[in-house]
Amino acid sequence: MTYSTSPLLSICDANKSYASHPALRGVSFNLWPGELLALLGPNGAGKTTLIRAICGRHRLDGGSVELMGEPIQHGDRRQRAMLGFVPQELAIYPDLTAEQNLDVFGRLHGVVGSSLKMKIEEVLRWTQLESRRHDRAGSFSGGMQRRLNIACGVLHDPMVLLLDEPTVGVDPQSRERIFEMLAELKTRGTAVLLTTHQLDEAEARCDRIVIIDGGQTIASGTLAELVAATVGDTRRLTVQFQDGDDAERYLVTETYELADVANELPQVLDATARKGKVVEGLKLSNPSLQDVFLHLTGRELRE
Amino acid sequence: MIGTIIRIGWLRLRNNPLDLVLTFVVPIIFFSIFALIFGKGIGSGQTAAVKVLFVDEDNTVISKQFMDDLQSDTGLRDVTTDAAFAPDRVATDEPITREVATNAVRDGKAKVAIVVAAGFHEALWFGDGEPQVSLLADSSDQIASQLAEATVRRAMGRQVGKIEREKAKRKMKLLSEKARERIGSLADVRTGDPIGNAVAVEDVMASGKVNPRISMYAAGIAVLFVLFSASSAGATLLEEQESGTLERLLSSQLSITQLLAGKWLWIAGVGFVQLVLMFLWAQLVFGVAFLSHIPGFTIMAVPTVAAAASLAILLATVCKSRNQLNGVALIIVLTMSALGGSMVPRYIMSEELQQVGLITFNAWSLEGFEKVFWRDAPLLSLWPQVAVLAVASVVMLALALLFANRWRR
Repeated sequence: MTYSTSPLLSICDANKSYASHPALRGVSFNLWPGELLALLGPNGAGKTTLIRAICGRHRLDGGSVELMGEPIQHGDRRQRAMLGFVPQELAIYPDLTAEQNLDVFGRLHGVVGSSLKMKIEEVLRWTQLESRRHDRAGSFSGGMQRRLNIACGVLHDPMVLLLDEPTVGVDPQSRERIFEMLAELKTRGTAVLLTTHQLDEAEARCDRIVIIDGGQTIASGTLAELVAATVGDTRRLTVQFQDGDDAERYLVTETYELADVANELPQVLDATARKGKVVEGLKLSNPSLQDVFLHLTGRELRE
Repeated sequence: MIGTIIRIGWLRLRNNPLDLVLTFVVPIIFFSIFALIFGKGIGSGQTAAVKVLFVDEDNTVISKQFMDDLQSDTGLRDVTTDAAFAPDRVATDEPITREVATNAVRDGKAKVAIVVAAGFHEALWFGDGEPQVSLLADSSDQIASQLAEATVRRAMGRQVGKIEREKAKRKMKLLSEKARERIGSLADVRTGDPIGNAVAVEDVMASGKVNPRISMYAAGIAVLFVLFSASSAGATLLEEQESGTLERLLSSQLSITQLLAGKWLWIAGVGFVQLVLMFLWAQLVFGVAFLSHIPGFTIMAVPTVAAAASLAILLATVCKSRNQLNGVALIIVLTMSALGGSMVPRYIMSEELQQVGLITFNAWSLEGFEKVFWRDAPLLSLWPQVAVLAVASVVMLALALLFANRWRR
């Protein structure tokens, strides 16, 4: 993917502490137009603090957040109009209908009149909630509420959309729909920054990944770049074969890291055959984000 | 199993100090408030002395004796020299007329005016007609006129007895020694009530009004429920905080000041409609003269709902959670309503408790509504109540803005 020359959002050496507890310790990365960037990290890593700082809701103790080359100013309405924010919680009014929710949040973002009407129609189509427009949001399924939650953050066509855990607690179909929606935004040039715990989401859906832990950026780049920089270009080979004697047979799984698949794979299979084992299953996989995370932090990404 | 359920209940209660307070401390606080109202007020013998004015239209030695007797009664308090009443008189040595006294009662400066009508002396001495004592009463205080009437009747009984003894003494002097001895041995026989209908209570407030007292109950209940609904509406702020909606709102074009201003206007608007509906209902069903008092009603209703809205916003910004707010609001609203006269009329409270009640804006609001609906007071006379409510409203809103800083960043 190629990016324009200047990033929409630039975070440089962001620092923030609560009392004596450091929440951010020098986080830096850029977000480019049309990019979908995952901010990955365990609970307490500083993801939400960073999102709030980008929204201008937190003042950083050090470092900077720049939007279109200008430092984020607390309460700057022009900058707020460029940002869309979708909180982790379902920040909608459950006793209002979908259309009423969109109406009030549109107005709060400065969209009024015929523009607002058009935008409401557009996002109702976008979220596939047209048929439920007059139903109260509280009566929606979790996935529909999530979609509406996102829709309320994009009514003003922000250049940068910040999503804090947008797929928490939704079923696979709804998650799929949400990522389709985000893909549509990308094609329009909107830069999307999402925080997530879901490694598979980040791996499969995002252009780039920034991993933070303990308030620090520990890695950033595309999946390929992260893999190359951490676990390398090795492939993981998983071989399953039967072992034991006639009285008791059981399945054994062995894994190998192969740097040169073409040469090393036949060798592994030969060695297995020489031992008199019959291969039952074989799986060759690329290193995953899970491996990268494990390599970087020495632990699994915990919930 | 049942024991475990009880244990869960206990653990939840123990882990929520506010629930503990609501369950065990608040009932004691309320018992204490009502014990103070009823224990030191009505029925305790310590009821506040009735504020009275004395009007002597007879202006004789007998009427003066009668007045002196009344003035020495601890159940009555002469307000002739009170600062509130003094400006009504041209000169302090000027005798108080029935008209001046009537106006003072209407204005709430005295609860009762005791008027000894001309001819009092003749009626008592010579049986020339019936002695007339009028009590010009403000029946908004139903206790005061009854206490004053009983006091006047007792004093009149004493006066009649004194005169009868004096008359008997004078007659005896005219009789022979033998006749005096014979009369002295006779039983003292009296027939009939010497006072009879001599004491008449005139309600100077309620004449020509339909169900005038209902207007005061309407105001009391309306203010109580305006406070409850305001605190409930204020809780939406914390609901939005808990749902993450507040974060979203403050990330939009909205500032915290605009948010609070919007909430304040909404709560005040709803409160105003509540008050209007309550008084409209009172007019339709109970005949309260609402429509003829709309200017006065509006002047009092606006600062009342403004203060209620400010209190609601202040509580919402101070409290950390809806649960906490519900508990705190319940305590504050009930206490203010109990002390401020929304639950029990303040006139039955002791003087001290009435003074304490003035820290609540219920008391000021109800005083204002009383002036409008009960006393038909001129609109300008509402300024003290309006000023207190307006200042309270502004101060509470300013404090709310200060506490709301925690949401700024």
